[in-house]
Amino acid sequence: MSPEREHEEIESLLGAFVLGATEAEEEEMVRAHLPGCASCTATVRRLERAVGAIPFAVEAVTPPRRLREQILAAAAASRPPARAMPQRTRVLRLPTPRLARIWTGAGVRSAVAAAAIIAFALGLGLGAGIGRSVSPPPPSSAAVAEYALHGSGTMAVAQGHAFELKQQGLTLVEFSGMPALEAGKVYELWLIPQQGDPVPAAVFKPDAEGSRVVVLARNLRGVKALAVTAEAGPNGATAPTEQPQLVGTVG
Amino acid sequence: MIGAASPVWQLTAPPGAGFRIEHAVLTRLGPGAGDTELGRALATADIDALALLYDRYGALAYGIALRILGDPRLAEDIVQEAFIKLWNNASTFDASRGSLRTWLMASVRNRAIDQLRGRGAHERREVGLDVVDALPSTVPESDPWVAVSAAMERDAVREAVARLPVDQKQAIELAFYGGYTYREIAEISRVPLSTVKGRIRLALEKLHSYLEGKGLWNEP
Repeated sequence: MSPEREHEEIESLLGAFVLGATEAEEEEMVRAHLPGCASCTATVRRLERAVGAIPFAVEAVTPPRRLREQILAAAAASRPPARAMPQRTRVLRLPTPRLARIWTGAGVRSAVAAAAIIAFALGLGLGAGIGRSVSPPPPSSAAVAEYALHGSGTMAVAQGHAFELKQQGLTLVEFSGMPALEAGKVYELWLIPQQGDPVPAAVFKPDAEGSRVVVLARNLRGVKALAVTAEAGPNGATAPTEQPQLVGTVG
Repeated sequence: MIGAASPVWQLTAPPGAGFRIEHAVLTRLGPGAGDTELGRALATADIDALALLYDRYGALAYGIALRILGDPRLAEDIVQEAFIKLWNNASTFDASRGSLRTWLMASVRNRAIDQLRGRGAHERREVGLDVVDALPSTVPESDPWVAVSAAMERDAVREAVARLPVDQKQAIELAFYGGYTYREIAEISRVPLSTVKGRIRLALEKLHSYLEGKGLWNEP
């Protein structure tokens, strides 16, 4: 086949090519041709734009609520290598090995969803599991422990659920019903050891719905209880300044 | 294992007892964040950015997968795969060169077609996140405009498709949503191969021309 004839043949295939509607050998032929043909490359670029627009004509369909939870759980479970953190989402820096991260409200809009995220990630069985294609092998339920935090006093409606991911060395604490904070205050999560003083674990502010999820880069070994107080922001206190009104025992 | 604790400490705990804390309250990536900003945040493994991206495009992605597969459960799997693929490869996303949502929708479509046609991932034509340039950010970066702009784009694309002659529209829809090759479309339509190739090419050229006229992309 002459070069001219080959060009014509390939040029006629470009529409089908950008739609993925050619046979495999034809696709290979086009791909081999493009680097040396500016005309066909420009055409492909133009037609690809048109193809890229087609999906936007489709009617959006609200997926089941669980899909959002599954995706976020799978993403959390996949834990891509740490890269430079975004300026607006700083990891809470605590003495090694304590590392806490706030899962902001925008990402986990409902407290139930937040709990489900970790439940999904760990195969706790709350709803459907992570999708078949992307989930890592779920750890055994023995690798996960759940603890509840109960509110009292001014935090009577507040609740917390802690999921300790023993194998991953992570603990997620999901808060809901948290009262709005006074100006300049933050909530501070404390780990109460079997012996010794309360250890600060994270500070956080609830979202407008009173929810927040905090992830601690540690397990709860040696921890007797979890507790929350309101402290001066933005950094909280190094020791609690009030009696906690949201508390849960561990173990 | 679960239960409320009794009071766990005395308020006399010594201040600064053995630890220093260096942390700050986190601010949030707001719902008004543009796709470019989301892309950058995703590249830093910001799970909130993924949640925002899902909130913005999850329904469209699901709609595409559902239209192609007709099976809600399979559609969920496909959408999840696409979002996780994006999450795991977001560090390669070059916001200046591509459109995150275009990549996402193409990923959903290609995966759904592969599922439909029983093709494996090794056969999938999938471009990198750094080379996508279809429908580049015409969506304004401020939240109030996102929905409006998305609706305008949707209407423009629908109008562009609706204006196509029936045979051209059928050809690209069989390829795009059905995953048929042009040879199969020729058999279905009972027309010569060259006719199908021509219909597809004309349809795409018309779509591009119409949408370019609507200002959906700036480059020629």
